Amino acid sequence: MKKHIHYLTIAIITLLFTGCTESDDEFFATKAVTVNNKIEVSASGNVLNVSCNFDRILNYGSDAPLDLFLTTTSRSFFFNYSMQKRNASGTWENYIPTTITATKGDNFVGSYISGIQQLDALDTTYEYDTDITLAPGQYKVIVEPRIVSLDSQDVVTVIINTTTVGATNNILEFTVN
Amino acid sequence: MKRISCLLGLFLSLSTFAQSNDSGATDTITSPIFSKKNEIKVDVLNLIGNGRLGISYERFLNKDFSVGITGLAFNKSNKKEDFLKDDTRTMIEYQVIPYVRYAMSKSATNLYYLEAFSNINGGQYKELKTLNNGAADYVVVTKKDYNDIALGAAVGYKLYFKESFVIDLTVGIGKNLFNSDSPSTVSRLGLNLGYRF
Repeated sequence: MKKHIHYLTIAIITLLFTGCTESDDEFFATKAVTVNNKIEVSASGNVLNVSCNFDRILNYGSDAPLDLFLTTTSRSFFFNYSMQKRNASGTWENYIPTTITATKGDNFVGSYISGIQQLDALDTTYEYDTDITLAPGQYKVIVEPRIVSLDSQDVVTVIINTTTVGATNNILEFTVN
Repeated sequence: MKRISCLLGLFLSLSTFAQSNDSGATDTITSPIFSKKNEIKVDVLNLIGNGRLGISYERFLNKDFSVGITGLAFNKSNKKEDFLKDDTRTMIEYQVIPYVRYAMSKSATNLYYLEAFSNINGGQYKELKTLNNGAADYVVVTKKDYNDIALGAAVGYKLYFKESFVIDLTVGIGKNLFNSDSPSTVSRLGLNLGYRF
């Protein structure tokens, strides 16, 4: 019995050891740049508009601009934002909109919204424009100001750190009457 | 690194345990195994798990000490084509591992040992490179070759059958010393099946 415990111990340690040494070797091919004011939010009437457009050849303060498509080989980028609505007792709670219309790009809607910017037909601009129609109430939209290339795991992932126009600290509070 | 240190401590404890549990009765008769001074082995763990062919030769100097050398070669058709796309930073293509072993237990048929080894290893690593096509920069993943030498230690267990056939389990770790682009550590893992003659 003692012998079997001994063998089992060695086998477990071997497996632990394999995991330990192999995980030291992970490679994350990421290029991060900072370009302000690439996401825009605005509320008018009962519609919240969210847009995000940027050139494929992105000027980011370096001597030469960065070709996003050649770097990522991806025709899509995304960023996330979420919404909250104030309930009758005055508490903010998570709100998932039901009427979302994308005029450019696309949306994945779950507990938050992933706005997808898609490269246009001329291969010059990544575009996203969405209208969200809302019922009367007080709302808050919270933007994560980080635009990331989608499905570019085979090559280099690009992260664009940005800011949101029309929001204070990437949060916009507004009322729909 | 803390986990690795804890494991090495545990191995040493195991080795001590093995030494204290040796039966003296079997040692009064000299086993025929001791008269056989050479051993060759094939690493089945690396062959099945990593697609690496590993062959070892070990020469027994006396009851306590032996020296040997292990060669490990990567099966290139297995993973090499996917290297640029996968999430690993380095790919080891070959390892040559000279080692010295000290038997912690004196039994002829099953024993624990301590090992000091050097690991001459080489392969490829990935890095990001910025290129320019005249209009704009773009970033690509490139691969380059590396070579390095690691020093390390291991513990192991051997079990002999029919006085000639052996199962040899080795677990250890080494640290690469000279090249910042090589893997910082190299594992010494092997489950060898061999023949002593």
